[in-house]
Amino acid sequence: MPFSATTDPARTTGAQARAGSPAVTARDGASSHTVVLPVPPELASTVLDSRLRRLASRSKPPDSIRCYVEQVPLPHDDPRAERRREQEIGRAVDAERIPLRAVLLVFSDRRRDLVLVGHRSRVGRAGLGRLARFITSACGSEEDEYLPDQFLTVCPDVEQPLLWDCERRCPPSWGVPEPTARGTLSRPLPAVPGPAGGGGRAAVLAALCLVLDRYVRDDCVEFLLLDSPEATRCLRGFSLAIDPEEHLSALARRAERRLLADDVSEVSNASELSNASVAVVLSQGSRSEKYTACLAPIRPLTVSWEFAEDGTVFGTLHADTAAVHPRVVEQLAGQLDRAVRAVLAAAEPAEPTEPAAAAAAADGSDRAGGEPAARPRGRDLPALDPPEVAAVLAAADVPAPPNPLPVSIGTAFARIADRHPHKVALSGEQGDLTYAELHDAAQNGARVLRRQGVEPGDRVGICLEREAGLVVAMLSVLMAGATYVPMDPQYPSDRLAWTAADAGARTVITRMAEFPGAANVLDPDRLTESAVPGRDDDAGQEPTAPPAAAYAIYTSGSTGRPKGVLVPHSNVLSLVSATRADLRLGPADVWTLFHSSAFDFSVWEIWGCLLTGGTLVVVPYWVSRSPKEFRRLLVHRRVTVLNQTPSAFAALVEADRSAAGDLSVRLVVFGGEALDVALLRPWFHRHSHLHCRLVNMYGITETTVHVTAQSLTPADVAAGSRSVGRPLPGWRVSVRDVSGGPLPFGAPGEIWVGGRGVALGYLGRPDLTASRFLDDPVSGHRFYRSGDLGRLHPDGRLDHLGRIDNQVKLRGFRIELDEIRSVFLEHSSVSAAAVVLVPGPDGDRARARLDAFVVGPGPDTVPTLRAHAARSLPDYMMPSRITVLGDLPRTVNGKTDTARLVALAGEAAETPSSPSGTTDDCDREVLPNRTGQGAELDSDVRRPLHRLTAILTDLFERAVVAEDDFFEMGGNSLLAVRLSRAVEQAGLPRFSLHELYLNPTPSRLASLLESRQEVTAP
Amino acid sequence: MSLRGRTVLLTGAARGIGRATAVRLATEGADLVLTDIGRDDPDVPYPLGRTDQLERTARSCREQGASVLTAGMDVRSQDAVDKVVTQALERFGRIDVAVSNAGIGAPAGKATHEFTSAEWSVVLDVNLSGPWRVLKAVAPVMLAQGAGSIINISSTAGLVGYRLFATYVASNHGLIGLTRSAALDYAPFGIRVNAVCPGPVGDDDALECRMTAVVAQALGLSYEEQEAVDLESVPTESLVQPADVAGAVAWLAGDDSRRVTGSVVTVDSGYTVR
Ligand SMILES: NC(=O)c1ccc[n+]([C@@H]2O[C@H](COP(=O)([O-])OP(=O)(O)OC[C@H]3O[C@@H](n4cnc5c(N)ncnc54)[C@H](O)[C@@H]3O)[C@@H](O)[C@H]2O)c1
Repeated sequence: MPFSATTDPARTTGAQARAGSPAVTARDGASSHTVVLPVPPELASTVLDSRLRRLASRSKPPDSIRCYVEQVPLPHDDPRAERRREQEIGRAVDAERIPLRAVLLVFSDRRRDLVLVGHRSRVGRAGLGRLARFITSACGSEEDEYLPDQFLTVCPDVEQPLLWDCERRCPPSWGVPEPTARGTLSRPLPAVPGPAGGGGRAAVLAALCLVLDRYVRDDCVEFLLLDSPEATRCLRGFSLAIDPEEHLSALARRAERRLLADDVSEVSNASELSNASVAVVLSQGSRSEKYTACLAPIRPLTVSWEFAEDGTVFGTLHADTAAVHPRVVEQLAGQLDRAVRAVLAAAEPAEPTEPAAAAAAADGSDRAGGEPAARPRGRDLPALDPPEVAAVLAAADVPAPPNPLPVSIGTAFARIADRHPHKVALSGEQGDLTYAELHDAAQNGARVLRRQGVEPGDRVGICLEREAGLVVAMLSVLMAGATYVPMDPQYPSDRLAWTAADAGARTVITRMAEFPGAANVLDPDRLTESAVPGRDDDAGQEPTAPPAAAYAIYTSGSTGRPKGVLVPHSNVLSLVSATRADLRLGPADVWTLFHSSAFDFSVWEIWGCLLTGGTLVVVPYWVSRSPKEFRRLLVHRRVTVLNQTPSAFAALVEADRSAAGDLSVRLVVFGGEALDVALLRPWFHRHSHLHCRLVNMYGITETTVHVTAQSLTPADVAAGSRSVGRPLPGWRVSVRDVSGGPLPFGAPGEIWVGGRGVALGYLGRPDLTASRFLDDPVSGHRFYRSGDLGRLHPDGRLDHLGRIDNQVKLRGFRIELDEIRSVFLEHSSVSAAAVVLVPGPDGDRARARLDAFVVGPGPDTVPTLRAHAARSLPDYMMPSRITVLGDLPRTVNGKTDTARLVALAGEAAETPSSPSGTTDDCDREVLPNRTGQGAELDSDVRRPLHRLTAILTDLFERAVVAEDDFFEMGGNSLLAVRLSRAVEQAGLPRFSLHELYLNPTPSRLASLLESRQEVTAP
Repeated sequence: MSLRGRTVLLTGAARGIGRATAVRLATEGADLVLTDIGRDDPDVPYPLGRTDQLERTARSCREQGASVLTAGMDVRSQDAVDKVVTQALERFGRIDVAVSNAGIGAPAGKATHEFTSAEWSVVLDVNLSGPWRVLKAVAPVMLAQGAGSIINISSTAGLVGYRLFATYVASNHGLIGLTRSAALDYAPFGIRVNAVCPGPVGDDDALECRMTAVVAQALGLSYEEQEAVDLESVPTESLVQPADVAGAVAWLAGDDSRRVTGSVVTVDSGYTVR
């Protein structure tokens, strides 16, 4: 039966009349906390009842405390009774109506529990505990039958707006949740002995910063801190820069100073706070009371630590599983436990008897003796313990299919040719070649090469445009037991000469009249012209020993000369064997040879097709440069398997929008550069993923074209997935920190690739090879260090986050260019986009700026695009200039040509009166003669009024102006709910339905929200 | 335990299908707000649920570890419904499921034109307007939560006609219409609205389920005669038990039916198949 201070039914307003949010929400859950205390048996229930009655009657405002006495017809320890108690503990209260609820559970065995749930804005941790102890105290004389008012502090809701943001989800980038996961998770952190008197507070924060530093690639770690020993207004930001070289004791001292810093604004400002995805609650604990610091995670990850009287530290991790994967939570818990122990041990005044205790605690070993690491540093703390290391390694290590591989590409091809001799293998402008014909031509070519003095193990240059002769030449070289070195005739002659020389290719097969610097130039037609009688030792026989490398492809790194990557036959054969079943590659398929032979994507096109019995259609250079022509070819030749770089595919999607003729493509494989899934939206409008599968494959020349594969669906597009999938069978990936240590799931680090695709190394570059290809002491496997940034999901999927060096620094901010790019791609009018950092004049760093290039929209949509971007990008990430291009410039390999874009941006900057208004230039620094109108535009679109009218225009599908009345326009309560959602999504403060009634026009609502924003962000 | 942490508001919980449903939902881990009229009504020719019966239901639920709030509530009064919703929110903070089960099977037993205006009104008021009042009170709560499941207990009389039962049949048909429309209104907001249509339910002493007797009385038949008619009418040769209806409600209340809205689930021993 409820006791309530007033029984006046008139006070009980109907549910209808309560505008706004009648139900307790996740926000209330985040602000509610609970104490459970057993009631001593000797306490008479009449005393208890009267205390509860008095508590209810003292509530301020009246009727804001509810006390319930409930019979539970089950013994105290019955599992159903326990569930009952848990349910009661987890039931939130709300700030406005009932901020305190006391429930007395009376069990059938006469035991009693008091469950006290309070709202943080009204009662702090200490108050809650004292109140609970008062109600349940056994020795209740009449004199202490009073209720001290300080139990309930009515304090200004300074922290309210901040706590409320918990409904704005702020999912951490490292959470790697399952897409369908919902719910929350709590996981206890083991108790650790600590210094008495609250000295452990700084230590646990320092430990948390150490751990979180592994997950955020940022200058410093920050989170929301609720440190409420007594009062409730201690919410603030906490941030700490982490230097792994720092001694743990020094780190703990720094954390201590931060914690004691009075000036909250110095610690962090409110806008940073609102985006923090981690919250920490510190409170004075007691081992006799069961305390729950929050009933819903305040932020996707919330850590609560309690400090008992004797200094013991114990805690709980609360996580929103829609934002943080349970495995990530689990690994965080392990790391936190180890880090807390290490920091506490290091922070303790060194015991003379145990010099190495701290060090031992730091790495979890029993290392004794006077090691120099007696004062451990952050880097001495391994991220994962051995079982977790094994788990992260195993997650992305996929066993190879059991079938044995042929010994060489030549023998594998010969087998296919035997099976389908009359099937068309190669189809070019000059006609078709069947498998038998191609096989014979290559055998002949091999003999011609031998005659020319090519020995097994030699390297033979091939410098040809895409034509049938290119494939004949490659196969001839392979069948001669040599290694081919493909070179693109489009490359400058210096580079060609250098490559041939570096590869030691004495013979180059080319149509060029003379090849720069080559000893021996061979026209490809000579391979097939004259039939050379076969000798026994080379015709169709299975060689027994694996031949030398199949090819050496030159890749240009960001620094230095191009280097030749030596790839053996077995790698190519493994690639085909790893993909054949999953991609259902077979004789019915028609592939295109679209890419330059110098780009290893073509290795996949050629051998993926020819070793699975498909037909390879050679795409002439001019067709590959025209998306319209290329699409026509796809229709005409009934191509089923298409391989594209995302840049080239963007152009094809554009051409596809207006083209006629049905595509037969059943599989599109993306490779060569990072894919932004937003690019696929227009494609999915026209093509079902059930008919045409899209597979994104991450790979590197050094690991034989592909490493991982991820099928893409519209759901992935909607989720903005960055996953490139799991490793192919036979491949393995691992994500490592700078010193090569395996990182936990979700933490970003360098992608290492191992398994069957790893190349032999760089031709003639032993030092470089040794530095990039290494035997990993942790796993015992050979790995290639990719220089790419990635993170691992618990199911072994890899997120590709760009090049490690694609992070640029601008005016002190770290910026991922890809992040900006994907914001532009989200806009429906944009089919392709690129963002570059443009150095200031004479390399002036202070005047460097970001430039965005977009393909798709008309020039007049640039302001709209700018507004769109401003909605999700912080100021420092906004490009100064947005330029519309017909197409993005591409490199010979079909990737976006960043260097050209930077040059373009430079040119535009030098001609301020840039032509035809396609460039929207808002950078006053670069163009001092401009009015800075763009900047005003920026602040304008950020204003609530602007956003509100935009939202309402969307909602009502008609133009809405500042003075339009929501309800007169046809608004009702359902639309109001939609409006309030959209407003929240736009990052504006919340409002209630009631407030909408009072402020029905955009302008009035905007001023209301503005006044509220000022509170949020002082 | 599919309803752990959920709060259910249930009308007509004193006995019968309502009691079976309450206990079933309690075993699924739900907390319950159990309501019934708690007194007889001059316009209804048979005894309605009593408060002691409601408390008996509540005790059975508490024995499953459920937290239970009971309240006397006449679904003919919006004020009464609103008040209970407010109490429920104060106690539990949320309402995840609302089951409108309260209903009356008589006055009946007359040709359509023979019903008095009062007889017509009382049946419509309880069986059709009652669920609407419940929905009216809980929808704002569920809208704010962004989730909810509303379940209306209709009847095979909402799908086919019955001789001499025009008031009951009309009200239950109406309830299905209400369900379908409301399902559309709230589908974008995560609130599902569904109906369950029991066929003739066998009486059950433990649940104090006596509807067969009420129908028999209305038609001037003996209990045995009515039961024989009912048995004859269903292909399964056994009557629906209250627990069968409770099972359908439990499914509609939980996440297993997350994509089910506007549907009409018949639990009728095959009655409407032929
Ligand atoms: N029993 C059947 O054969 C059968 C068949 C189909 C449908 N139904 C439906 O199932 C539901 C439950 O039926 P039952 O068989 O358990 O009947 P029941 O009479 O045992 O239970 C109905 C409950 O509703 C309550 N009620 C009646 N009027 C009310 C009002 N104005 N306000 C609040 N509560 C009120 C009653 O007090 C009673 O406790 C009803 O809606 C009925 O139409 C029953």
